[in-house]
Order: sequence, then structure tokens, then C-alpha cells
Amino acid sequence: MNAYTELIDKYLNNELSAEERKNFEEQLKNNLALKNEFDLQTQVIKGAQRMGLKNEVRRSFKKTKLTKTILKTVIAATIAVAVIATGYFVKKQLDKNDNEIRYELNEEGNKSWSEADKMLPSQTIRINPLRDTVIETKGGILFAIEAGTFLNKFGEAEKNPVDIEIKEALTALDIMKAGLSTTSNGQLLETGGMFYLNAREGNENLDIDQEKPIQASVPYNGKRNDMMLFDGKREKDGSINWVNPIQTVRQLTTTDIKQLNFYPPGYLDSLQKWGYNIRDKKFTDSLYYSFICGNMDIALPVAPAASDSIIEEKMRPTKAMKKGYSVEPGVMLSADGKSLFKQNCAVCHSMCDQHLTGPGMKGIADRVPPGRWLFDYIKNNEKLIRKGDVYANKILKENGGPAMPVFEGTLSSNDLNAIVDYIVKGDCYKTDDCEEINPSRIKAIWDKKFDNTFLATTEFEQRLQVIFKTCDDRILNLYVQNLDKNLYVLDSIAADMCSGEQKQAFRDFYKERKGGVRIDSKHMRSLQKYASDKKRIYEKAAFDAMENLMAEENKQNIAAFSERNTHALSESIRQSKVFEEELEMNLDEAYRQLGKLRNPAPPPVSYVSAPVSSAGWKNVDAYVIESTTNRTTLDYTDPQTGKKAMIQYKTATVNVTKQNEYDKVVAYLLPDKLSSFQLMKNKGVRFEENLNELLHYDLVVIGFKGNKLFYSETKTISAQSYTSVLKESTEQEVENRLNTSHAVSAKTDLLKDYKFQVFDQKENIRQKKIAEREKFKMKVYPIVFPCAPQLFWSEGHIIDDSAH
Amino acid sequence: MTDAEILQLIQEEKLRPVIKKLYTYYPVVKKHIIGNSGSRQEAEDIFQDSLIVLFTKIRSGNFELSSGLHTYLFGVARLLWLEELRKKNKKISSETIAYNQLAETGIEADIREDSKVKKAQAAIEQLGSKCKQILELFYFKKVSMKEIANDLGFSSEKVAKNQKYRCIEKAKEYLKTN
Repeated sequence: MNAYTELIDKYLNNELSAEERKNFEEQLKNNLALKNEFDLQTQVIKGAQRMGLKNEVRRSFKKTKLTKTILKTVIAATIAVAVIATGYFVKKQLDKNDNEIRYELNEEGNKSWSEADKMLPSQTIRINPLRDTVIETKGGILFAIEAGTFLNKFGEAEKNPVDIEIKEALTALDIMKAGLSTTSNGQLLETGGMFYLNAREGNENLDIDQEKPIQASVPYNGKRNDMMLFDGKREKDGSINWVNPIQTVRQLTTTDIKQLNFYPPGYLDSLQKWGYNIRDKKFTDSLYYSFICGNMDIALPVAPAASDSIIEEKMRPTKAMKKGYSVEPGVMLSADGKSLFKQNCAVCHSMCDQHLTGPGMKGIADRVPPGRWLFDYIKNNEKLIRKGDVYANKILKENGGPAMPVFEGTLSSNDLNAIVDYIVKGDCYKTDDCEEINPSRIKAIWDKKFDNTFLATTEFEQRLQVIFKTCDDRILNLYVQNLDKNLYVLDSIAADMCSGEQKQAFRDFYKERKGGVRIDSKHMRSLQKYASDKKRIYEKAAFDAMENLMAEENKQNIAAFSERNTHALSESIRQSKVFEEELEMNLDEAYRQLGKLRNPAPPPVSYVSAPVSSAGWKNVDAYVIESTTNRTTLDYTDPQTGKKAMIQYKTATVNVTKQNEYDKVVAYLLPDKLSSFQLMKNKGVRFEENLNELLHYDLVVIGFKGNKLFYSETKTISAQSYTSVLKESTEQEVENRLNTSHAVSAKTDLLKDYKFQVFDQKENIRQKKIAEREKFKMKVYPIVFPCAPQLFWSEGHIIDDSAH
Repeated sequence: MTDAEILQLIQEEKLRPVIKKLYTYYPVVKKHIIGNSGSRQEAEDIFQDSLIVLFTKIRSGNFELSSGLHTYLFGVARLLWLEELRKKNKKISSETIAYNQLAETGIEADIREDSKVKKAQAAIEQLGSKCKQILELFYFKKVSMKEIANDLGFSSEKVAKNQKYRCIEKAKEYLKTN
């Protein structure tokens, strides 16, 4: 026998003396063989205990015949509590010995109950069936019940208080506890929870109006989109088989609408790429909204806001329908009126008021007879004319020309309805109106007001990106006008309304089966109205703002043009004046040197612009004029006397440091004896002018760089090379300097010219800004309107600043 | 009987009333197991094993009442049955999710521990009936060796003890080889 076994057992049973015990524990630490035996033995003892426990449990199991009664008592108690708590009167005969379940009839009106009915506690609540009610269960299921949902046995809406009984099993544990199977026809299901719902008035089970289904929202945190709702069918063996699955939709969670991105695809990305701060929402907004297309026909029933979406048509009369321009009632408009019109009608009819072969369609709803007339007329106008229809004959007479074709047989009723719908709603836009998604529409819905609608969800944000790509305003309308619908319904319609990539995108959206956000119809209509009103207001505002801006810019353009003209004129006068003075002086000097008396009559002004270039006989005057005009040295010898007249012109150059960094540099020469200044010739890299030796010149250089001014002056320059370093200054400072420190004679003209130069610089900056703005908008334009041809915007919209 | 009372009783080794009480949960487990391709016998077995795991846990003093006794019990039963299904290689895809949730609660570790002890129990089960009696009486029912010797007809307490040692010895041998 293993010596250890006894020792270990004694140790475990506490049969060792203190010393032996200590000794044993010491050995246990060091003796590996003992340690192994010890572990094994404790395991065996645990095994023995487990065996005992198991036997005990087994024995008890056999004795628990009475379990079932215990079980039922427990349940009866639970139910009684639940019922009493909700104020339901419990019959007196309900006592502890009664094994029957308390509620009389199940949802089918019989007494077949499953284990689940017995195991899950009921939650009962009494509601007023004539009010909209939302019930939240303990487990968090929300039941939204419309007024009048419950029907009594006569099929009428129940008026008396209704008791609603709910059982729920939302966790795997609850489901198991209730013994609910998770199989559907033998196939295992992954479950998100189960619930039982029954409604009763007194002892009478009530039906649910199929038109007003109860909306159940079951909390589900899983990721699957394909959860389905099954009906539970009670089987004879008391189990439940899950049948008739219907798709569930996920209710959407709204977020702060301002946090979403409602800009066209690529808008923010591109701006960021171009180095703009896209977190500056003021900037990104104002840029985007600057593309709002002013709709100058706002007052006419033309604005898309007046049109309702397609499914809306099915549900309630549109404005046009109310007026009596009916599409056939109940017809679902599946055809695209716009494209049908383009194919069949647009050759002869404009959507505006322009008369082509036939009359324009604008305002047609206001002039043709109400009702079916338009439909019938388009279908077969000849028939109406033959029948003697007054209006049909009137327009035939008025318009003359070839008669309108008969479309009966070519177009289906559906097509005709779509066309009627399209022309009645109107679609007249000025050429510079956008047919795409007008930013005004986005501005109207990107608003706190819509925070509790599906517009304020990331799901809609995704759809909007695709809507932009469709360039189809109607699809945006579809969503905005149907805030009470589930997104997937709208996705499916949207897919029908477009093609290609976008069609696929909407189909994919549809497959996600996204739900909506609950919204009551009154609220929805007010939001619809808000969206369309705001759109018009924003369009008007944008149009006005644009108009004002244009007017203001135009005014300034005209002012600048005239200012520059005036300056050009006065400059030529000034130049001729200063030339004359110099010429006068030179002539005096030449005659003095020649020792002749001078005839003081000045040469005509027209000579100024006719420099002498041909050889031939010239008198002294002619030589002096030539010399003065070209600013070259006069070296004349009188053929009669042999006397010489010489007036030297010598070149001075001024190098302005970093001249190319300035927007503009002007170099003035201020002669001491003349009444005006001389502008030095700008050679790009330096300034040059030939100085008259008879004069002393001061030099003033002014540089312009954006809004900054730079200044330098040099007193009494001579014919040599100068380097001028400009110092930053202010407009006033420069003016002051010019006023105080220079030859009095040239001052008036100098100040005048200086002021013009300042104006000119400011004007250039303004033009540059406009040009940049337009260029930038041109860059952004294809992002905002992805379907528009690029040239459309660039033609005639850019203010040309090449004049400078 | 509240959960706390049940805990108290188990600590005091008063198992019978507890088992009776807990058997009210049996139909649920049965439904689940039979509903998931198990037999009645298997359901019984799983439920009993679940009770054992629960008792062991409570006795170890590590049981926290946060989620309720039945939560723990159902968790164990469900997991045990999953193990069983896995052994049988049945389709269990829809169960996996729930399984993973349970794994976090620590039930899995308790079950692993129990399956070790279950092996030791199996070692004892293959011993002769005398052995089993002695071991159950002494270690589970805490009957003294003197009484055991008396009840089972051993000539002396000493003989009974030696018999007990031999039984333990055999069980250990069995465990070592299996």
C-alpha cells in the first residue's frame, strides 16, 4: 500500500498531531511525489463528494412528482400580482388550488396555451383606444398604437378602455426560461427577442385594424439588417412554431442636422485640397449658397416647391388636382413626364411662354378648362374639335398652323397622365437657372427644424450624396416631401426615377431596408411647407443679393472706367503742357546761345505727337522740337554764323530694389523750373530718363504692393545711376511729404497724379478680387452642379482685368 | 424561498429543500434541450449537472448573486448542452452568440473545473459498491468511520479505514492511467 495515502487522508481529515501536521506541510513543499499524490487524492475526494451530490440530486428528482403543482402555484401568483397591479379585477374563484391559467382566452379565442404563456409574466395595461398611445414594456419594446386600432367583433373601433396584455422574452435567457423554441418549421432561428400581444375589452378579444397596424419597436443591438418578425403558431404539443416572417425595418436615429454634411460630393474635400479651412462653416456655407440659382419666376406655379412627390399623389390631391386638373385618380405615376414631354411635345411647345409651332405651356393650368380636358386633348385633340369643344376650337383658330398629332394609341394613359402632370406643374426656368439641385433647397432643409426627421440622419446624408449625382431635383423632393415614410420605400422609388450608377446606389440603399423616423402628419406638412417656403425665400434673397452685388460692382466699374478715362485725358494735356514749357525753355536757351532774337510764338500742340524723323531743311525751332520731343541732346550749328547751340540730355537710371515684387512703381522727376513733373520710363528692371541739363530734378519713387505704400525721394539727381530703396509708408504720409518737400511748381500735378495712382491701385485690387472670386467659383461650379457643362459658367461671367 | 435563502441553505448543506425548489426550473431546461435535439434522459442529466456546478460554486464562496440564481443555472445548463452538442457534432450556429455572451460571465471556468471533478467521480464510480458507499458516506455525508464500520458490517473501525484507503488508492491508480 502506498504509504502516502493514509498520511494524506489523515492530514485532510485533521487526524494528525500538530507536529506531524507541520512536518507534513513541510514535506508537501519539497517532496514532488507527495505533492502529486496529494493533488490526486484531493481530486478523488472531490469526486466522491460529487458522486454523493449527484446521487442526492438524483434521488430528489425522483421524489419531485409534486413539482408541477408547485410550479403552477408560482405562476398563478405571478400573474395575479401583475393583474392586480394594473387594476384588473380578478374573479373571486381564483384560489391557490386552481391550476388553470388566469386569463380566459388566448389571442385566437381558445384555451390552448403553450409553456411560454405560463412561464412569462404578463404585463397588462389599460389604454384609451381612441387616443394615439405609445406603450413601453419593461424590456424596452415600444408599441405605437394609433387611435381606433382595435376593432370589436362588429368590426367597429372599440370605444371602451382596452386591456393590453404583453409578454416578452428579449434575451436568450428569457427565451429559454419561457421554453420558447427558436425554430421555424424545424429550422433554427437567430432571435432578437419575442413578444406576445393581445388586446381585450372585458372578456372579448379585439382585432387589430389591418389599416392601422401596431408599430412594434424591439430593442436590438445586433448588426444584422435582415431581422424578421415571425408570427407564433401554437402547435398541439404546446410548442410554438414561428411562421409568416415579415421584414422589419430599423428605425433611424437622428443626430444634430448641422453636424451632417449636406454639401455636394467632393465639395469639402476639394476646398480642403485647395487649402481652405473647411471647418469654417460660415465660409463653406456662404460659398455654397452663393450658387443659389435665382428663380425669377418665383411667383408663378413653376417653383418645384409647388409640386408634390409621386407617392404623395397617390395619397392626397396635389395643388393642381385640387384645382381640378386631374390625373386619373389612383394612377401611380411611373412614367417620367419630363422625358416624355421632351420626346413628344418639346419640338412644338416650350415649357415657358415662348410660342413655337404651338403655344408655350407656362400657365396652362390657368387657361384650359378644368378636369380631364387636358388629358383628353393631348390624347386625341381631333376628337374634341370634331365634338365641337369650344376651347379646342378656339386654340385651333388662334394658333393656326399644323394641327397637333393624336397621341391615342402611341402613348398609354399612364404616359399621358405623366405629361399632364408635368406640364400642369410647370417647368419653366430661365436659361441661367439650375436644373440641378439648387443650393437653396439644401439651405432650406439643412435646418434645426428638421432635427427630428430622417433628414437628420447619417442615412439621409448618404442618400443626399447620390441625389446630388442624379442632378434631379425631383428625387430630393421625393425624400423631403415624404418625411413620414420609411427610407427604403423612397429608395425604391428613387431607383425607378434614375438610371445607371445612381440607380444601383438607390437599389443598394433599398436593400439596407432602413426605416424612418416617426413623425406625425401635421408636423410633416408644416415641415414640407417650411422647406418649400424657405427655398423660395432663399432663392429670392440670393437673387436679390446677387443683383445688388452685380449692381454695386457695375457702378464701381463704370466709375473706375470714367476715372481712368478722365485721367488719361488730363495726363495727355499735362504732358503736352510740360513739354511746351520745356520746349519754350530750350528754344530760349538755343536762341540765346546762337545770339539770335527769338520769335516768341509757340509751336502748335499737334507737333507734340509728330516727332520729326525725316531729313530736310529745318530751322532752329525744328531742331529744338526734335531734341525736346526725343529728349536727346541738341547740337546745332547755325549755318550762317557758325555759332553753336547745345542743350545736353543725359541719362539717369534708377534701380528700385526688388522692383518686381511691387504691383506697381511710379518714378516722378520733379523739375525745378517747370510747372509739372516728368514720369521716368519704366524699363521693367529699372527706370530711365534723359535729364535736361538746364533743369534740376528731384526724384520721387512710389511703390504699391496690395494695400501698402512704399516711398523714397532723392533731392537733385544728376545723370547717373541711382539705387532707390523704398520704405513702407501710408497714404497720408506720402501725401504730406509730397505736399511739403518738393518744388512748389510741380506740386499740384504731382498730388493729383499720386491720388490717381492710389485710386488705380485700389481699383486693380478690386478687379483682381472679382476675377479671383469668379475663377474660384468656376472651379467650384462643377462640384455644385455635377451635370452642367463646364463652359456654361465660364462664358461671359468673368470680368476681364487684362486692361491692367 | 428567495435566492438568498437558497444560498444560506446550501451553505448549511441542507440540500433537499433547495433541490426541490430549484427543480421548478427543470421544465425550462428540459424544453430547451429537447427543443434542441436532446433526449429526456440527457435533459435530466444536464439539469442535474447544472445543479452540481451551482452548488459547488456556492460552496466555494465565490458566488455573486448579482444576476440571480436561475440566470446562473440556465447559463450552465445551456453551456453544458452546447458542449454536449459539440461532442455530438450537431449544428449549433445560432447558439454560438449566446454562448459567447455566457463565456464572459465566468460560467465556462466553473464548468471546466466541474468536468475535472467529474472525471474523479468517474474513477470512483468504477469501484466496487462497498468502496463507493464508504467514500460517499464519509466524504459527502460526513458519517464517522466508526458508524460506517458499524453500518456496513466491518469488524472494526481500523478495518473500515484500511478499506477506505484501498479504495482511494484504486481511484488514484485509475485516475493516473486514464
